[in-house]
Amino acid sequence: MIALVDVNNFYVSCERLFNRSLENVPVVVLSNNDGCIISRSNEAKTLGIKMGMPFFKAQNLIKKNHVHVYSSNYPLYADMSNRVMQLLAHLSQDQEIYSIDESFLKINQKNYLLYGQYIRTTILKNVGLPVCVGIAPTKTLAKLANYMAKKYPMFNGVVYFSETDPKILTKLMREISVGELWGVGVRLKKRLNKLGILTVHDLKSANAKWMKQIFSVNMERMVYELNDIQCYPIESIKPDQKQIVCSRSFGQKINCYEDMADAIATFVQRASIKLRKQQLTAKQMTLFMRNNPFSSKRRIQHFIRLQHYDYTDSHQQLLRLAMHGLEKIYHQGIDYHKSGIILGDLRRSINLNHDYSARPQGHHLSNTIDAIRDKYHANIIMSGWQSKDGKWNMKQLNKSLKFTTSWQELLEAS
Amino acid sequence: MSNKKNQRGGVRKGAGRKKGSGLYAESTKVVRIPISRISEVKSFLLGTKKTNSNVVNFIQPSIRKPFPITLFSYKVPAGFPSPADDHAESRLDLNEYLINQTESTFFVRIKGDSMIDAGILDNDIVIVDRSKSAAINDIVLASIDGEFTVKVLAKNNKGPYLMPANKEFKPIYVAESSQFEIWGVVTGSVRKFK
Repeated sequence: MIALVDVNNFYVSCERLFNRSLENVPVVVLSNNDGCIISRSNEAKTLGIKMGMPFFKAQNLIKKNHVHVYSSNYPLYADMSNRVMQLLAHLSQDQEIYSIDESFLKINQKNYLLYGQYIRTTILKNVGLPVCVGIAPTKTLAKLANYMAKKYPMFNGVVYFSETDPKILTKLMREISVGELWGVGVRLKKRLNKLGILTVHDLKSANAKWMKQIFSVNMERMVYELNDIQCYPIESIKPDQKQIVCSRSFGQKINCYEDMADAIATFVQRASIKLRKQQLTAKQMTLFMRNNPFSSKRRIQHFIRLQHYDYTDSHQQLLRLAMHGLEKIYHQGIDYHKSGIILGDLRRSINLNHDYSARPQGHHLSNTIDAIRDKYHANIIMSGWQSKDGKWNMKQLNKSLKFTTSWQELLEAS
Repeated sequence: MSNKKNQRGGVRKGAGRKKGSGLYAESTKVVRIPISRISEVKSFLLGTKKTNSNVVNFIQPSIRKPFPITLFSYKVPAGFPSPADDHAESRLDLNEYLINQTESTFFVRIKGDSMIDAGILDNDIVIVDRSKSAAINDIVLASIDGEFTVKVLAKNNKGPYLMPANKEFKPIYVAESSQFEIWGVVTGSVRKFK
């Protein structure tokens, strides 16, 4: 069987674990730069605060109902995610980490419902985060089962498809919109609705071959998966990434070349660290910058696609490339609001530890710098373009401490 | 090869690349490999390319992570082998000593003197394991109405309460109306002098 385990309101649940006074009160967590609401407690959901809502639009609701607002604390969330995933690895035969807060598991048990509850209580006790578990013969159904476990309190957090009353299942599948299915986005939902397919049950009873002709083979597979026929196996080995993106909206507008260079250099650094961690090399870089379309008369966006002469994972080479691009597209007199880089044309770097000469140029220097930064702190070595606390840094008004990743910011108890 | 044959097309003598003149210095064969692993196979082939040189590959030590090396694991190439080799054990690791389950272990900084008789001083770091179940007389990290505190878990006929390890401090009885929970069990503490 396949189980999908998903942490409830993940970011909010992390904040609550280290601040117990947030329990049972409305809490929201904001995206980078405190832009949008990206995680809500159930209390906040009930108030009508929507996912992805811009913070300023929810301001009234938040003030009136004393909603607690937190800036996102990614180091904390990443560590808590690792703990959950590690524990889940112990609890399953095979694991596919699907996102920061959800994981597919391959499990083989006598009593699945009981095992689902065991997973739930173990994670709540050992890591301190609430999860829901959906268990079914296919991934698509496991996702759906998880959705039901979350949405309907009668299941007590665990749904095992094959042992749920078929009458109830059919009734729920007639209720749940097809848009809630795994892989059905807004546009696909619209196209399905036009054909009269409104609910999960409608799609389940559709003719798979037809769906393939109208949509694609993926839609055919989805119909099969809804009917207990597995098309997507657990992928414990992640396919290589196609691109690495690193971008940010700035805390305040940037209209000077040095500040922009500082930001770009930092993006290059972060992206190239990601590149090396996954043992990839890149040949292409896209650099872009734009103004704030909401507060300016005209939307301005500049971008350039740069090609390196060879595949590389060297910070220095990528930085040189980026600065070359920046010179070309930077315009004086524009209040830039966001910029970023995208590394493309990625390729697995040469995998042999022993072959010194086969490594791309600059590989070892970059790795040495990474190691020094890991050992001391992130700012100990920087490129000449970077400053210690760039003007472009994130606007984060209410960030909790890095309870689990910094000796200076440990949880305190009297 | 006769001239006649040559006039009718076909293979010319001596045409094409010489055998073994390619990248790998020997004859090659077409094989099927998964697309996703082409670069891996290519790099493997390039990396292990046969050469006439007798230079051994350079070995590049990993600098990313400290690699725990078992003492005495190196063979002496010539001469008498180390008698300690059969008795090698891994070097002691404080993490292993202090932490039972990494996923459920958290570090908490102590503020104040309420636990000094238990050997926990101001500014010490205690190790809290959430996977353990608290028993009476265990030192626990509890939260009362949102405040975290480290105390000894005790019990009388009215129920559980929290006992400080310092005579100057009073026991904490939990009112029924307050939010109370045991967050984890304290399994150890650490202090640095320098």
